This record gives sequence, C-alpha cells and structure tokens, in this order.
Amino acid sequence: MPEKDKPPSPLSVADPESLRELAARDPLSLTDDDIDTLVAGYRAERTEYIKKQTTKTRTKKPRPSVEELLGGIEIP
Amino acid sequence: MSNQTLALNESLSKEVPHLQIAWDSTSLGYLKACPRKYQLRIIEQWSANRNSVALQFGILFHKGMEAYHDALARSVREALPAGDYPGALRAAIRAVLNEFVEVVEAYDHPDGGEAVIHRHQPWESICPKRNIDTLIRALVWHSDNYGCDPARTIVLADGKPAVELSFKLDLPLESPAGERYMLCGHIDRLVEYNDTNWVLDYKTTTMTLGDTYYSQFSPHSQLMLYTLAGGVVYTGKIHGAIVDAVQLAVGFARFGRHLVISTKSQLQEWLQNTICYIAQAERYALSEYWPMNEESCHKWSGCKYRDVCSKTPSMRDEFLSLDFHREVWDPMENR
Repeated sequence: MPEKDKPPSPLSVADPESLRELAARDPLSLTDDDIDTLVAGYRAERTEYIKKQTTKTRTKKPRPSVEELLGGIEIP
Repeated sequence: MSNQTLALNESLSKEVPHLQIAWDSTSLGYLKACPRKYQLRIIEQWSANRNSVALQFGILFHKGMEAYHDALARSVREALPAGDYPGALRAAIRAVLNEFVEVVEAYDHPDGGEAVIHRHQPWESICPKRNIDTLIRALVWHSDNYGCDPARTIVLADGKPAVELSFKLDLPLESPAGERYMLCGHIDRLVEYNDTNWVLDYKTTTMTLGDTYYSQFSPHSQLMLYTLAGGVVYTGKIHGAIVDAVQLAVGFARFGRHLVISTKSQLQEWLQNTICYIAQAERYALSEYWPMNEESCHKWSGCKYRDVCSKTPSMRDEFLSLDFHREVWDPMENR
C-alpha cells in the first residue's frame, strides 16, 4: 500500500518529543508524516543550539586590561 | 583451535588452511595490533556477544548516510536538479529505523551447559551520547549543516552515485598455492571538492573535534588504502581523503572536515608495509601459530580478548564460549 494511503498509525502523535520516544520504542510504526515532524523537531533544536552559541559568543566577557589584571599593583 | 564448524569465509585461501588472501583495513588492523587478536577474530571468528555501542552507532550512521546520498542522487537524476533534500533525509531516517540489529545472549541450556540465542530487534542503547535519538539528530543536523554540499558525490559511468563503493585490488604477491593476494574494502563516498577528487570517510566520535582528534588520521592505514583504491576504482586522480567527522554529545552534534593528503611515495611505502604484514600472516598461517602482542592488551580501553588471554591456555576456549559467539568477518562480502 502506498505510504499516502496508509491509515494513520494509532501510536502516531504530533509532537516531536513523543515521536523521539516512539522512534526508540517502536521505530517501524512511524509514518512519513511522523518522520517529517521528527525532523522539524530536530531542526528547531539546532536553531536553538546555534542561537545559544551565538549569544554565548556575543556575551563573552571582554579581555581585562593590563591595569585590571594588575589589580592596583603598582609597577616599580 | 576449537573443532566447531566455522562459517565459510571467502577471503581465506581455498588451498592453505587459515591463510587470508583478501585483506581489508579491519583485518589488517587486527593483525598489526596483535596476531593473536587477529587469530581469535578473523580466523576463529570469535565476536563479542555485546557489540560495542560505538561500532553499532557507526554502522547505523553509515547506513543512514548511504540511503541519504542514494536518494539524493536518484532525485537529481529523475526530476529535481537541485536534489530532494527532505526526501533524502526521510530515506536516511527510514533506513536506520528499519534496521534491526542482531543481539546474542548466553543462557543456561536445560540439558546443561551454556548456549546462545540470536535475536533481531531495533537497536537499543542507554548510552547518553550514542542512541537512536542522537543518531537521528546527527543525520538531520549533518544534512542541514552541509546543505548544498561543496563536496559533491561523483556520479559513476553507470549513472550511480559513488556511495558505499566496494573495491578489490590485486597485489603483486602470491600465496604458496599461487593465489593472488588482494586488498578490498568499501569507500563511503567519492566526492569532487575544489575541482579535485577525494575519498570521503565518515567518523563518529565523542571527542572534541580539534587537532588532537584529527592527528590520529595521519598516518592512517584505512585512509591510505582508500586513497590508493579510489584512484584505481575511479579513473581520475584521487587527491586524498576527507574525514567527515561528527562529534556526538548529549544535547548537540558538531561537524568538521579534515583533509588528509598522501603523496605517491607515502602510498608506495604503505603498500610496501602492507605486503610485509601479509607475508608475516602467511608465516603465521603456515606455522599454525599467531603470537600474542602483550603491548596491545591495554591500549585504548583494553582489548576485548584481554580477559580470555589472561587465562591459562587450556581454559581459554571455555571463557571464549561464555562471552563470545562465532560470527564471520568476511572482507569479500558484498554490502
């Protein structure tokens, strides 16, 4: 039976998190639509990850100046 | 050696017992690490009941990538010049979800003694960095990371993409029975990158991708073999190998590529070394004795046969049958 004509799997669920669990528990029950939803979930996760990495880079502390490093110690 | 019947191994000589004729990088690796390890795994076919999680993950990732590039190339040929990336990704995920792995479990036989049972089931792993979730993530993120990949899969003369390309190369060396030794293996992908041709090999790791990680690939026996073979299988010149590395973590995956260029004289040297090792293996087979290399027992996280080799020789078969089962490693087997 072509994939598009198959009835929806009774185990099929819409949110990517549940689908991840289903992929581990019962991988053969996933329909093509389920896989697309799963992919969308991983994509969103990647976007979030990249955003965090970018933010991390942007908020990186500026290098301390020599004066700050010396902490008030006077150079003879 | 135990008298139990062994599965047919096409890579072994038909004339000289226990002499390997067709060599791949895995069997060469065992021989170089320790001739006894080679004897146990390749000649006697002892495979650990518990397959390493890293190995299983790597096998499944390769299967997914093969399905991905196969589907992508098919879509380019059939209708979409730019390639059907969503369709290819679906094919990759479907390929790993449909893959059932063999699980071997030892149990007490009712008639006494130990026996093993072979079952096929979806891959299960409790490893936080290598499981079905991190596997699918790695496939999806890899596809998105490389998108319109600058390393383009070469299309062979028969129109098929150069993915999971099996090769066999004759060596200028014959066995005592006159059989021609050969090298064989499977190249993950042949690609065109910056107007030059490369063999591309996937590597999955939990190490950080940096100089320390990449330094292990130069020199690297498998990459030398593939670079050499790529030039023979594909008529164009092969510039070198690309390590397509995937770093696996609990919540993310990172990607990196590293170029490994081998000069002609380096490849010649590798070939010369390999012929020396094969000649050594011939001596071991003719004398029916594969010596232990104790220097290798504790490398990495320890050899999987270390517990067996630490026992007195008369006890070893008993220990082997507890934690290992017979599974042929045949480099001549088509994938």
